[in-house]
Amino acid sequence: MSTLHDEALRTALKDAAHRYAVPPGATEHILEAARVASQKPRREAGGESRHWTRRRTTLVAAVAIVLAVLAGSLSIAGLVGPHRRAVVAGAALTPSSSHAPVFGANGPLLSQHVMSGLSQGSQPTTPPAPATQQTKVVSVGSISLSVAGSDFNNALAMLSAIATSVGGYVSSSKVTAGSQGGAAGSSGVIELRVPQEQFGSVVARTEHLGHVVSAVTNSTDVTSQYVDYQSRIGALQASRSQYLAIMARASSIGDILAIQAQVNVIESEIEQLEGQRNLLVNQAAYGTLTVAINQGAALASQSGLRHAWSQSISGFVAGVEGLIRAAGPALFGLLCLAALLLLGRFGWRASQRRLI
Amino acid sequence: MQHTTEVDALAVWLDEGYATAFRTACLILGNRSDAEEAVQEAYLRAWRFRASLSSGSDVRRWLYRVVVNTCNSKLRTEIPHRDRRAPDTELERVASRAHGTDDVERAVDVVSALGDLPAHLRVVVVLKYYADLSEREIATAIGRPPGTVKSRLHEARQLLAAHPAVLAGAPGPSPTRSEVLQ
Repeated sequence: MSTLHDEALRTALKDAAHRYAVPPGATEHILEAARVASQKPRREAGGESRHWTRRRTTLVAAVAIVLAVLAGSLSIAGLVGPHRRAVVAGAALTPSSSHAPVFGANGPLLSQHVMSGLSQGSQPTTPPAPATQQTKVVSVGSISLSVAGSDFNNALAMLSAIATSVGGYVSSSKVTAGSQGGAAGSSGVIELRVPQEQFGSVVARTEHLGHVVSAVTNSTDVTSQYVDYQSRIGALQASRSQYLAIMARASSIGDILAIQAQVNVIESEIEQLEGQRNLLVNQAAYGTLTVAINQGAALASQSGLRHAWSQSISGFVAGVEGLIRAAGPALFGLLCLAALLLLGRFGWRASQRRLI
Repeated sequence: MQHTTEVDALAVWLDEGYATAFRTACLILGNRSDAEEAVQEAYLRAWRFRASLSSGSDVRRWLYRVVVNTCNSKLRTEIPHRDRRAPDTELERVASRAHGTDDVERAVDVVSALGDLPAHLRVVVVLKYYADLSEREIATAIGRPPGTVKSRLHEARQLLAAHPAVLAGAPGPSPTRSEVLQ
C-alpha cells in the first residue's frame, strides 16, 4: 500500500495533537499583551519598525553596493581611457622587467607625446620638458617584428617615416633578400635614433607595424654620470684658469714652459671629458631602437622545436594576459550579481511579508 | 473604550480557535514552547493588522495563514540553530499521565514521523488532517496554488505511508476525537 487512508492519518494526527495540552493562561497572556499594545500603540509598533529598519538597511546596502560598483567602474574607465596607449606600450614590453618602472613613470608623458606626435604629423617636435634636461636617460631598445610578405617593404618605409616624423633619423639599415627566391624570407635590421622624449611613442608605433616576436627596451638613468662629468670639467677649468693666472705672473721661461705643460695636460683632460659628456648627451637626447623585421616565412623557417617553444611561451603569456584582462570584468559582474541577489532577496522577503 | 471592544474581538478569536491553532503549531514545529510563542506572536500580529482584513473575508483562514507564516518564520530563522529532534519531554509527561503506554508511544512516533517530513509537506499534512482545512483553504494559508497543495499532500502521504508509526494508527475509536472536534 503506497498511500494511507485519509481517515487513519486524520485519527493519528488528532490523537497526537491532543497529547499537547493547551497551556493554561495563554489566552489571557495574549489578551494582556494586546491590551498593553493598544494602550501604547507607538511603543508596540517598535517590533514592526525594527523590521522596517532592517529592510531599509538591506535596501540601502544594496543601493550603496550598486552605486559603488557603478562609480568604481566609471572611475576605472575614466582613469584607464587616456592612458590606455601608454599602458599597452608598457604591457607589450614586459619581457624586460628592469625597465618596467621607468616606463610606468613615464607613461602619461609618453602618451602625451604619442598624441602630439600623431597630431603634428611629420613636423619635427621641439623637445620641451625642462625635467628631461635635468634627468638624462639613455634608452635602448630592440624589437623583432614579423610581417606578412607584401608588407615587408611597406614596413621598412614606415619605419623611416616614423623616425623622421618625430625628428629622428635612420642611423643604419641592413636588408637581406630572402634565400628562398623572391621576397619571401627577406629580413632587415634598421637602427633608428629618435629623440628621447619620443622613444616610447616610436616603440608603440613600431609595434603596430607587424606581429611583435620580441621587444626589449632598457632605459638607464645617466644623470649622475653626467653631473660627474660636469663637475670634473668645471674643476679642471678652474685649475686651468688658475695656472693661466700664475703663468701671467711668471717671469722665467722655464716657469712658463713648466706651467704650459701642465695646462696642456689639463686641457687634454678637459677635452676628453667633454667628448665623453657630449657622447652621453647625444645618447640621452636620442634613444636607439633596433628593429629587426622578418617576413612571415622567415619565422616559419625556425627549427620546429624552437618555433614550438616560442609559440608556447607566447601562448602562455597571452593566456596570463587574458586572465588578468578577464578578471576585472568578472569581478564587476560578480559584484553586480551580488547586488542583484541582495535586491531580489529584499523584494522577495518584502512580498512574502505583504502576504501576511 | 474603543480599545476594550477591539480586545474583545481578539478574545472571541482566541476562544474560537486558540486550542486548534496551538496544536497545529505544535505538530508543525514539534515543540510545545516554540508553538506557544509562535501562536502568541501570530495572534498579536493578526490582531495588529486586523485593519487589513476586509469585512467579508474568513477570519479563520486568515488566522491560519498568519500562524503558518509565523511557524515558517520560526522554522527558517530560530529552530535550525537548535536540535529540533530533541525529545519533547512535555508531550511524554502529559501523555503518560493520562493514557496507556502504547498510545503514548504511538503519539510520540507520529510526531517523530511528522518531524521526518520536510517542513513544506508537514504544514499541508497538519492543516489538512488536523486542522481540517480544505485544499483551497490550505492554498490560501500557505500562499500557493491549490495544485501545489494537492501534489504536496500526495507526496506527504507516500512518505508517511512508509512510516510504521502512522500505519499502526489504523482507523479505530479514538478516545479524544470528540474532544478535539468540539
